[in-house]
Amino acid sequence: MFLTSGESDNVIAKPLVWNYGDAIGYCDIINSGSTIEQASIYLNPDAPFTVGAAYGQYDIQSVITHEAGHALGIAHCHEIGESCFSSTCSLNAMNPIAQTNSIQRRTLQQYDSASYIYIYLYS
Amino acid sequence: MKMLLKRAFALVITIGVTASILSACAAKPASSKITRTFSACYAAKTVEELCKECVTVVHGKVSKIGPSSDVGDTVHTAVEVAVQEQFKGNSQTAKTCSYWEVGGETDTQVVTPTDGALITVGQEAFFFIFKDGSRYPGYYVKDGKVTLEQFMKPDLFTSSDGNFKSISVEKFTDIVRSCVK
Repeated sequence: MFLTSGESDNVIAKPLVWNYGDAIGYCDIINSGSTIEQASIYLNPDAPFTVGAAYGQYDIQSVITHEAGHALGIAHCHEIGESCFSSTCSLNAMNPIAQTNSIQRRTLQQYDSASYIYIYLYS
Repeated sequence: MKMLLKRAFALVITIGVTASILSACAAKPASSKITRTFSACYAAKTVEELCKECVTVVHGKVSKIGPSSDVGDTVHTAVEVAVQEQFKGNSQTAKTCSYWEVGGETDTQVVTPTDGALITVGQEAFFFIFKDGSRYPGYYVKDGKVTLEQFMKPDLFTSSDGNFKSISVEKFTDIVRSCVK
């Protein structure tokens, strides 16, 4: 889905210039009405990424899982500093705070999968 | 014969230019803008880490929003804050401070957060502003309280508190004051 094709320009990239403040990961979506025309995922080139759980580093698979959720139209389970009504909040792939030293958020929780089902089956 | 060829050539050029103009107009009306939404995830930084890393830390209310400008494939919007208390910054007597948020509208594109709206005039918050002029999200004041997540100030939480806790502005002000000392 995210490979660059002739029809759209979906990418996953570590850009040379970071225009998104203190974010670790960023998902940019171009919309046409309710249709997602193009989704790009960017990883902060200054953030420490690794594959797996390592002290002080972000598991790239967990962060990509999170941003891929956005690319599919799924929102955070809460915004930073707002209350969360999901019982699995800290485990959710769509939690807005990236975790270091953990691969927990590779695994979808009920909020994550239910959001997808709601958008694509019931909306 | 030569004249006929010249006329035929001129006709072909005219048709070509006209077709180009018409197709350009049909492809994208001048008024259309690219519509983007965005979401971002952030590092779990404690209040102490933010106090240390940020160049400006203030408590205040948003007094002005804009202008917005295109930056790469996104938009940055300038935000002015009427300062109630400055904890850290170049001028300890500043009445206003500024930073930028991702999102906004320019002549070419409209960029909005997936979750909700951009910050609005009148919003009260504690603003932790980085060297690049952006700020860490959250720390809004609602009904005289600031909602903290456990990662923001772990030592305030007990095992029965869960992940969220609201504390008064006065108490949070004391926390920030002690952080920047």
